[in-house]
Amino acid sequence: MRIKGYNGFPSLPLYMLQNTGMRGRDQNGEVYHSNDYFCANSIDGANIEQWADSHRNLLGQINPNDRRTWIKAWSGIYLSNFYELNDGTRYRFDFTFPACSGVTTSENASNWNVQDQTIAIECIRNYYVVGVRVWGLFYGIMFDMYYNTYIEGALTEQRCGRFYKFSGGINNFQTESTLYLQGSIYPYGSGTPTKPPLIPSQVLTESYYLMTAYLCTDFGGSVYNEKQTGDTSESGGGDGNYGDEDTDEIPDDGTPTISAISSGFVSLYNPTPAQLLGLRDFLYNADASIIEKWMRLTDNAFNYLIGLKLFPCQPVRGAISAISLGGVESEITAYKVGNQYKTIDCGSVNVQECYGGFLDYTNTSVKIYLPFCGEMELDTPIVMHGTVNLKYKVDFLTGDCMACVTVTDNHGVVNSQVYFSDGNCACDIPLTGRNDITSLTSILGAGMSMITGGVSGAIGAITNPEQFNPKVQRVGNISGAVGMLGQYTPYIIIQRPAQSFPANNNMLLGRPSNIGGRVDRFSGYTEIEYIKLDGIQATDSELEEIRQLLADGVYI
Amino acid sequence: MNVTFSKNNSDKRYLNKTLTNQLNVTGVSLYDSTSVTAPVLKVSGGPSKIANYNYVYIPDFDRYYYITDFTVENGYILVSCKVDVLMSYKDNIMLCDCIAKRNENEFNFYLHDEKFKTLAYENIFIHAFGRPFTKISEFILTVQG
Repeated sequence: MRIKGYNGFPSLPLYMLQNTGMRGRDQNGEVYHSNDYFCANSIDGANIEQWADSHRNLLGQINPNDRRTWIKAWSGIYLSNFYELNDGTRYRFDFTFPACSGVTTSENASNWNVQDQTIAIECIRNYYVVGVRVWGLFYGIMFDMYYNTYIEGALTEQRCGRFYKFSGGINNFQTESTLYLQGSIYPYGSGTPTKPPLIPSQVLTESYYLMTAYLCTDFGGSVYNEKQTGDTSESGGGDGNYGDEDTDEIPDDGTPTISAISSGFVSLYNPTPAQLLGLRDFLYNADASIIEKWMRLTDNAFNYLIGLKLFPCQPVRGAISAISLGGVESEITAYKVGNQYKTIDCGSVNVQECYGGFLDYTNTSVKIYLPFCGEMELDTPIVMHGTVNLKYKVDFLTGDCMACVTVTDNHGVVNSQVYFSDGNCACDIPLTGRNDITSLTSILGAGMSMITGGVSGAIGAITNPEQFNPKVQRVGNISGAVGMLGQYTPYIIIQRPAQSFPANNNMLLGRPSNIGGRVDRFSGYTEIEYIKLDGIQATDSELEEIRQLLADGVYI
Repeated sequence: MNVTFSKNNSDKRYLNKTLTNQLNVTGVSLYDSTSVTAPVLKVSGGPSKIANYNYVYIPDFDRYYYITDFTVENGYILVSCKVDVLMSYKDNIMLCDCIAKRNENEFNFYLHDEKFKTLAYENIFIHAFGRPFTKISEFILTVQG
């Protein structure tokens, strides 16, 4: 078929030959894959049919399944924007080839400058970076000639994906105006390329992975090959701050400075058993004036007793004072608890390496038993080769306790609290036979009802729930506190492997090394994982045998 | 051609073999078609001449060989050989850059060693902290006010 040109292009016939895999964009920007490529006759108007006939054999060498894109390069001619097929389909085919003075159809064009020319080099994978100098050896199929031409220059800009802009010169260019570019990219060197190509031409016969030379316009149009569906891999990484990272110390934070005691609504006492008995008697035998004072807020003096607990440790004691209930001092004195919280330092344990090697880490487990909190696994790499300090923080109002583990002088962790475990170390002692929260709920749910029973006795129907005023919440249940029955001494359990290590192990097996250098720096039994066998005039099979023997282990 | 028979007392894995009782023999030919890596030498004379040797150096090939077999044929001793690539190229091998996976003398015990063996049981160690609690319990009374 014939194609007529537009936009001032001389009306040269263009023939489309089959199965070349070229793609482009039509006037709407849609990718168009014609499976054909264009060729054109020379600017002197030679008959394209005759040209085609004379080159049929040569063109027949083109693999019809070859998906390279062949682009016509013209000297001083713009192949312009649109080409219309006979059926009216427009095919946008953008490229330019610079006009260059001194180039004619009959002269050699040495050092032909193609600085203005954007030859997009599609490169396979990540072989190239901008700035690299390359040879481009292009097999030019000349009009009436078959000639090899090479281009030398540099990749100056990465276009999209694997496409690079190339700027350079074409040497030894002889043309009759038509030049099909297909070729290889070589490492830069002087003279004709002698090294094997980085991207050899024979690779080009493989579908999809191609090196294809394009000529693409600087005006934004391009001839596209395969649609890019991902980013080209590039080298990078390795720029972390290894060796420069600091570690912060996370020391113990202490306990709150403001506690429930500070509110004045609750008080904690540390009575002896005898003092508790005395308080009990006081409550049972209080005279009427005291009872009247208590009745201002509650109908039951026991309501002033919020809780009674047994602790396995002594609180911070304040002054000895009379136990006050609802603002009424009793006759019983006891230590007042000076601080709701107390920190108990249990000391430190050194967790030392036994073997000085991997056995201390990958095959060793470390656990800590914490009274009232349970058992906890510690990360061996964190605590090994360090000092483990344990502190208990106890809340004498709730009975809660927290075990805080600090690790110091480890390979990385320095004086930081890294483990926490909570529990409850108090045993609740019931003071009454009922739970006020439960009672209030049942009253509200049932509406007006009688409350009978209980230690305090019947108090009559409640018409207004607000009159039933346990302003404090009592705990009347016995807590589990099974910890009270258990072990009170915290300890660390280290489970270490028992190694089986023959005396001649190193001589016969060696030990993991991962040390680099020349072979002659090593001595004794050696297994070589990676080696560069340079300068050995051996056969291929001998080299392979050397590599295998070294990997299996040799004596140096 | 000339060859040098010797006795190798070293483990095959040594790069540099310890060779003793070296015997130079002249007039040795190659048996039929032979490869440079597995030649068969044709030595005149009786088996006792070289039967006690297990190693040979062939200058023409510039290689050292293990002797893998002796065969007697028509008054000749046929010596089957296999190239010792380590001894033959030891000087060049020593100059090559490498990364050692295991070594007898230079190693880091903190690298995991899959060849290390441990017993089925473990050693258990217990280290106690100071005791924060006492079996002598304390009452704590919480009151309103």
